[in-house]
Amino acid sequence: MTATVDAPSDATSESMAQRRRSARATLGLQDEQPDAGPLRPLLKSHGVGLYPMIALGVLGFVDLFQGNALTVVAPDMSSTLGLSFGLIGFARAMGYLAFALAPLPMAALAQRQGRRVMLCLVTAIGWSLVTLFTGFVTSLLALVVVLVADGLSTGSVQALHPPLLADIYPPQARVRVLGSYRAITVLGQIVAPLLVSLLTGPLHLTWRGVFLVLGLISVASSLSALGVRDPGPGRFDTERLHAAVPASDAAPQLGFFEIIRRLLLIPTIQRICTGVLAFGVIAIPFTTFMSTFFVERWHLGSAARGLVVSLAYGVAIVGLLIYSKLAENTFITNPAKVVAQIGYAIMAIGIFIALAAIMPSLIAMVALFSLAITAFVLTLPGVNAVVLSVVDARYRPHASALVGIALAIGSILGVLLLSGVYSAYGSTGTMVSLLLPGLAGGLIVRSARRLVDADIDAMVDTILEEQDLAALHESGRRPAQLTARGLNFSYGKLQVLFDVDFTVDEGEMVALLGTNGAGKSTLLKVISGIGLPSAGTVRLDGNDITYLDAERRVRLGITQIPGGRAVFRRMTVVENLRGYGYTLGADKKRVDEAIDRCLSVFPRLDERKGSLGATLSGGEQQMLGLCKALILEPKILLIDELSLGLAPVVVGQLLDLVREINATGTSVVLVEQSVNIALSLVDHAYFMEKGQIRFDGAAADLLGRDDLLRAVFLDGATKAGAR
Amino acid sequence: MQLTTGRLLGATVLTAALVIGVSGCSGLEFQQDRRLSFTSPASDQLTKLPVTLAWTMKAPVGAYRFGVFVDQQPIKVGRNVDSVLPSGTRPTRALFAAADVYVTSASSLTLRNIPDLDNDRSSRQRHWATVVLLDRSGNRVNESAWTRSFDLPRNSS
Repeated sequence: MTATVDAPSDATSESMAQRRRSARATLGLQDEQPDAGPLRPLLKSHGVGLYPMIALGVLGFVDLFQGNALTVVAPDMSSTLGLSFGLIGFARAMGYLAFALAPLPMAALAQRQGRRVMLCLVTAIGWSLVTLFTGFVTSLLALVVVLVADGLSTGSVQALHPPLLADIYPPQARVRVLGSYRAITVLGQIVAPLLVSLLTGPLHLTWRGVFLVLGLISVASSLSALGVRDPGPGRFDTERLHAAVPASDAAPQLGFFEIIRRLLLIPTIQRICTGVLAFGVIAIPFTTFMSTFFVERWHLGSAARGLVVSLAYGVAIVGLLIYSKLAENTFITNPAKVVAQIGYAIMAIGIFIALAAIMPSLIAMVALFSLAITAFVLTLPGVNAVVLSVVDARYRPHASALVGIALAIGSILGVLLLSGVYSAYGSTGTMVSLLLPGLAGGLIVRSARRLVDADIDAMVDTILEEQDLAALHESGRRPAQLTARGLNFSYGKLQVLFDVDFTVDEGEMVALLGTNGAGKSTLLKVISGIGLPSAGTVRLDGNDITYLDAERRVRLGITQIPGGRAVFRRMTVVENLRGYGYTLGADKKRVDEAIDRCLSVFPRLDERKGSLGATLSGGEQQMLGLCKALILEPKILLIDELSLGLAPVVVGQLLDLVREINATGTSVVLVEQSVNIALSLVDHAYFMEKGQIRFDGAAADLLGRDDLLRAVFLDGATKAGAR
Repeated sequence: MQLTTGRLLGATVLTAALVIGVSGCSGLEFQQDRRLSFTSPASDQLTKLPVTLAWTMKAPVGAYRFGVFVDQQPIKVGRNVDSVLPSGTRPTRALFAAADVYVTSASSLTLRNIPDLDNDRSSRQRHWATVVLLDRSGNRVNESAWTRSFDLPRNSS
């Protein structure tokens, strides 16, 4: 226990900075790195080859078959099935919706099963069979079924491929590997339409035959990935850091939605997903409306359109491979710079498309279009590299899925918005209008450059903290029962907690004092899980519970009694008590026993057990609130403003009960504005002011801090000290 | 429930079976029917009304007739061409023409009136006509469909 809160010493800061640098180097980030080196030798030195990247790239490649074939043969399908273009568009929209939603369940499956390669393979075979069976469709319903099935199965491409590649390959090769993988999939944009042309042209197949053949090719290609092995999350980076921490069965693991919520609190992910959403407005509509633009503005036939698109994607592949090498070196030393480059690339897409739309020359239009496509394909590898670097490897599928969903939602919005623009201004106007989402998306993504380093450090710090705890264990000592480190919390844009450290030892009773609005209640909320911090950690018995649901924390032994609001006003006393026992589950007997115990401790409540909560006096309501502790028997009880508005005699009774609860071994954190009450109970006190801990030490020492205990407290505090 | 490769593959096969079951597999054409060739107008040719649509058939048509659908999808296989008319109306050549649908045994057809496309305000509009085979009762007999597109100036009719 420290008497005051001092700034960390220079030596401590230096040591922390050194450890952080070392950890960042393990993650593949270094202060100085002139050259990442050639790819092949680098991979060889890490014992990996190009096969996994190529195999996953092939899966991404054949994933494009269904969509590309559908675009080309939709008119033929329409004639065969007697379906209007609108109905085929509806079926495609359903498929796209499934595609938009699929990455998250895919990430959830990967989290539960942990067999990512198997999921990639099975889904690839799944979409291959779906492609094959599209050739057997004879009705709108069947078409919707196959497109939805295709959309759901292809969710693995965004959710699992980039995280797998990030884990299979060393961080020093991450950008190049993701870039090369993307190049292979982009190659599919060239090959797939050509293949469809070959099948419908010289080989005289109907659209049914096309899907049948593409499906068979896809199945065969998918089998090529059978040899890919999943090394597990973070083999080369975060797991190396975690390796210093012994695995604990008692450590609670985050559930799926807890992970998603946790990731959405990372500023870089927030910003990039928002930017990608705006970028998504361009992503899919761009290719759709570009084709219409070619026809309407330049009267290009299908062959000429195919040639232009193939040329543009060819240029893009070359650009991608060149940029990946350059971006790798930049990323290693300065990830923020790559974020800025991605932002510029997205802006460039909008600018190039708008310029291409108004160009009077076909050659200039094609050149600008090629530049737009190049900028377009550069974007995703960079986005993936950044997003995957700011999260622990275990959460990469979820992070990748979030990017995919943002992209898909943006695309759906884009189709809706741009359809309206197209009706009003035609294809040229639509192309020009893409300038706006391009600039907006680019600026938003670019603004994430200021966040990325801090987020990488935050991830590193969490792992370093675990290493410290592991060292503590090894030395035979136990961590404090509850620790909060470096907590920041904001209500919207208003930050109310600033780098708060808070510790409670087992069985301890601690007072948390401070002025109105100092952040005391907020700190309790962050500890109990009602609020989630934007930075920092909360640990119970050394286990990280920062992002666990409040309900799970109750099960782990943290119970909070909110100030003056611990009662359901429209429920009777007994119903309230039964409500507190909800967490105990179906053990009705245990709940009944606990209720009887409460009513015997508080005879007044027994007398009023049929009364509504709203009709209870303030003291009775606080008694009822304290019953929560008697029912749940927590390890740590957080009490907010116990004495507020109560008569001294009632306060005395309640405090006696708090002492009794503490005497049974339950640690207590007592938030109080009344210094005399708090200091009459505890030996250890914290004082908060303006969201910061200003004092952490012996309660008696706090009495000597006139600078903290201002006039509003001083009178009562002095009296308490004299007692 | 534990996810296994077998279960996932089973689900996929089940989906496939569902698709095929919903679809029905009879009469599906995987190879293009190349018996019919258009002789006029040329593909994507700018022409003017009246437009003569002509074609040749390599094999004898037999008891079949041709259904010609202009700027719209043809009827589904097995459906009767009368279904393009409001129910209860007695099918006449004029009513079919008003619906831009024509039934003929000949290998050519003159289109005297083709309305402008609703969703296209360009001065040169792309129209298309699809020919399918109908039996004597007017039912579409198979999946074969032949489409020819041609351009007309706006406000041709």
